[in-house]
Amino acid sequence: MNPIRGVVFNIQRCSLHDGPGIRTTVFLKGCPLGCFWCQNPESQATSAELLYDRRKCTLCGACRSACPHGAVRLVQGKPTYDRTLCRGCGRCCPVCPNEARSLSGKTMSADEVLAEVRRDVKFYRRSGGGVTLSGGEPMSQPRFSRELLGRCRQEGLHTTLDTCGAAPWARLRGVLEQADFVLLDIKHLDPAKHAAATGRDNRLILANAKRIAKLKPLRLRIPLIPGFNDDAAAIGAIAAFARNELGGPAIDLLPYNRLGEIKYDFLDREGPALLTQTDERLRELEALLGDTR
Amino acid sequence: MAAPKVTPLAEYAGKSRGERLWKQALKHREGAKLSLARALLLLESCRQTEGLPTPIRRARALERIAEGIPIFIEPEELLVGAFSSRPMYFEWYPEYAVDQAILSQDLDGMLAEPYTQKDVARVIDYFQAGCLQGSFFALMDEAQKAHIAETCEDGAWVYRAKTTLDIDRGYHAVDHEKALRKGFLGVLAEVEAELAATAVVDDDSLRKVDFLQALAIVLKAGIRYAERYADLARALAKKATGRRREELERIAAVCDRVPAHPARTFPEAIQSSLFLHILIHLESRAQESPGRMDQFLYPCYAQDLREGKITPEQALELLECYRVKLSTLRLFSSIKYNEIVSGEAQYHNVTLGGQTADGRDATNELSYLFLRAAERTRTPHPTLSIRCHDRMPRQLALRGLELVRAGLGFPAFFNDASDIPWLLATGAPLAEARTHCISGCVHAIVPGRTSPFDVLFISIAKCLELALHNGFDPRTKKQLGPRTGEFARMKGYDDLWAAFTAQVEHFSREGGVLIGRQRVYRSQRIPALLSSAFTDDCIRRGKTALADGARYNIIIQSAVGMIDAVDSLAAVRRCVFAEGAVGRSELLEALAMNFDNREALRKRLLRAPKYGNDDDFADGIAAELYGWWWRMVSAIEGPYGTRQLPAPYSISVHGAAGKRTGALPSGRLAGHPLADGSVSPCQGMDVKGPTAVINSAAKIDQVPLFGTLLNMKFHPSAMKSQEDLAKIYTLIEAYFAEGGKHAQFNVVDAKTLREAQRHPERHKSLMVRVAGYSAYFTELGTNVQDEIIQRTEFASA
Ligand code: SF4
Ligand code: SF4
Repeated sequence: MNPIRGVVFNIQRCSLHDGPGIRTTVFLKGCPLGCFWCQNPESQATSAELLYDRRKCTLCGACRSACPHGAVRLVQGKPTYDRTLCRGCGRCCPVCPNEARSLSGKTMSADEVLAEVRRDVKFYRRSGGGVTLSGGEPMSQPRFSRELLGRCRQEGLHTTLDTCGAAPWARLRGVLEQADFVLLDIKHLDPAKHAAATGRDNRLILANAKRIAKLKPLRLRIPLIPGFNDDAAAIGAIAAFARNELGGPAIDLLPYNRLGEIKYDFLDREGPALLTQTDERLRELEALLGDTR
Repeated sequence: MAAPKVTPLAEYAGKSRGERLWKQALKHREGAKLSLARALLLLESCRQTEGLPTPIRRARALERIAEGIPIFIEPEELLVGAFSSRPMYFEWYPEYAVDQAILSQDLDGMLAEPYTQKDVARVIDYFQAGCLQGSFFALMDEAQKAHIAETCEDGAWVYRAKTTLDIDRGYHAVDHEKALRKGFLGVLAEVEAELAATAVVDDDSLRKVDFLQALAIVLKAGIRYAERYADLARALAKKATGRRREELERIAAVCDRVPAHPARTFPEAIQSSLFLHILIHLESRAQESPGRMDQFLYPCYAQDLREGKITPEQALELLECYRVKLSTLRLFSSIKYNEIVSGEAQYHNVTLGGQTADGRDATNELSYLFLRAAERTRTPHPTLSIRCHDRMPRQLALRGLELVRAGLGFPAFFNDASDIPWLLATGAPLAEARTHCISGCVHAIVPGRTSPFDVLFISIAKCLELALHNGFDPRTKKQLGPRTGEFARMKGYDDLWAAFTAQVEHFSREGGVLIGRQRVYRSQRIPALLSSAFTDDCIRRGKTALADGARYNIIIQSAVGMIDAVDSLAAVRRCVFAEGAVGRSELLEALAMNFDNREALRKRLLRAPKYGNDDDFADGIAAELYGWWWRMVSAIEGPYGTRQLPAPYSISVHGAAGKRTGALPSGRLAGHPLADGSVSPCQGMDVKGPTAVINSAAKIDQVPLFGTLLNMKFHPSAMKSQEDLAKIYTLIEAYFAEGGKHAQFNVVDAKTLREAQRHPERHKSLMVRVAGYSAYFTELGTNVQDEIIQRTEFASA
């Protein structure tokens, strides 16, 4: 039988803020939502994508010769990248002398991921850390996610699932069985607003939230999106929901940050133009959470 | 033991006394000038003592200085004594080096009143020929001098020649505990007893008697110095009123008592220790490490506390005053020296925590108060070192990390589990090994029993450059090293390894001979007396600590640019020998051109495995190189029967050495600084985060090394909560569990971020973390980078 393979776009060692202790976070590609503010736009599609950093490109043309699909053509004498022809094969990446091209998405077996994860076992043990599966949305690769978390657990590692909750319960439950801890993103309680901003309404997410809360220790994370949910009403509503329906888990407010902005350029996509909340605003919103922190 | 609760004294709510004193000192600093007080007293004394034995002359000189140097007590000061005749001024030590750079400097604006250029000329006139550095080199013949000029810091920078002649670097810690327990008079009695027991029957016994008589003179001179302060304090008290009057009277009473007699109270103990420290400096310019202050001050502190004589607040205030005092030491010296010392780096190092002689945790309330004092005054000195071990309270380490977060750059963390086995291996009994302190930057020594040590700085990166060119230095166009073979004809990696290690060994031996000679020369020409009186077994043996008076007699070699060599070897092994992707001549040509028009080749080399990424290929070379190096160095004999100890660390020599090193196969460009520290990755080459760096460093067997240095940088965003600090401490613990010796953290400031914006290549590893998200700083868009810089600035304001 072929081992199950997954598409991974990043393995981040020494994560300090993705669950308890020091962790390695494995980011899987693919996401059922399409949040307009997404900070990992390279994670949304399930297949591999080319990230092209024009700032570093010197137009040397090396990628043109390497590309088997003609996705880099000469236009007025300049090598020009045409994303519509690109198949995300990654052949052009190692030839670029300026590291201007990189591929988001690498097909890996659970064994390969584990080899990387194992390197930091001593840090997990001492800090009460472990492995976090994130994305994208790990639930867009449920079989691989389940396999990976299961294998980690076999090695005695603490596992965390970082999910948006938008997955059929039967599948989500299967993956949850292998998770010791859950980080759940809740973005908005209003179904219409949720649908407008993410492409899907939130009924499944909220229903799953209640089910998860019964099964696993849980921490809510609310990404604060300017103009969308960074107001007292939206946060207050989520806090009340958490208290009344989820048994009052801890809640983290994640202020909007612009660290992912540049990646829209790398993907030739239009990014959101949003600004970070002030510390003062953040404190006001945090006050609404009461003692849930 | 828990941290004592400290609430600010009511009358000092707002700013503490230490903060105010430091502010005052910084004001003095702006207009600080060169005082000739010490130099002229020295000159006067030297003229009078011509013809007497050297130790006696040195002793008389200190006596003259201690009795004659102008003294002062600043408003609000509780501790007295000074490194110079006026606050924050420089004093001159012409007997060490009268450097050309001083001669050519325009001193006019720099001279303090009432000194004149004429005075300077008198001093130069007397000391120029006979000063340590000048006379040492005068002994050499022209060929030797030419060789050193070509090879050392004025030429190719293979190793540093003027390492120990211009300054006593003070990698040393005297026995403060003994000073507090016996007082100078107690030690004087010891000296006199030894004198009485010594019959002059031969050259050695005559030398011993001279030495002991000199010790007696300096001990009495030290007592006299304190008496002057007692008189001054009393005189000032008469003019003062109220609270200050009481304070001055107390200062007078303390100075009446110490350092002559044993210290009975905490104020006496800390003042006595300070006097000893200052007097040693006035004599020999040494920058001693005070050592385990939380230990040797503790008995007096505990007793005072029990008897209600002191509160933690009052002790804290004294510790703050102490910090300010040690931060007023200024170093005036040659330009050459400044080039290699980071800022005003001084090696006062206070060690906190650790173990007692019988292996219990030694942390006490003073350990915490020292941290608090540093946090309050924010003075740069003394630097703090925390000795970590399994049974220590985590709280101490976490408090330390809070200071790091506040941007102090210290404390550094040290590992008992690696340093104690090292000391045992060098022959120290367990009880002594357990009571070690950190001296200099990173070296674990037994205080009061170990000799100061001279250092040979040798550039391993330069040796690799020489190996690639058959011993020829391409920059200075000189054949410097042995002919170890043409790189173009080398068949495999083993050939390069053999050539490279032959170069390193050649210069380690050559340089070892030179510093050995300097050591003997220095201990004979400028015998350090007071520090010897407080180092076992100098009195009994009748020799200075630098000769073989000290029980543990050491001399060290320090490798600079080791990791640059590792990355270079890895790149050659991978790209040239394994893949065959880069030709040998092609590589040499690219290096000669500093990769100009050879960007593609350079990129390829940069992509080769680099140390610091938990990559076994590169890390394996590091482990092998260190393993080979320490064995090689340890086999070289030193003066007075010492062995050379392998002590890899760089201070800021990596900058100076880097300037004179050409492009390297690691992809490093000509003239760039070499890697900082000894087990830190090359700048910007570690891109897999701190755990990968630690894994790389832990693959090096560090126990046999006399101190290593691992620097790690964090953006403040990674150190926000207490939880973050606990996680960072876990990193240290895991590293130490595998034998790592030292870890130090720096919080990245806005300045560094701006630097990174300009030179992204050198800062590739810089990571910004926010809740749930992290990114490499240099990969971000400029506008977002600017925003982070602003926030970083704001957070530290
Ligand atoms: S990823 Fe593949 S298809 Fe796309 S540009 Fe590169 S080589 Fe061509
Ligand atoms: S290889 Fe790299 S630098 Fe050259 S044209 Fe392609 S992207 Fe630009």
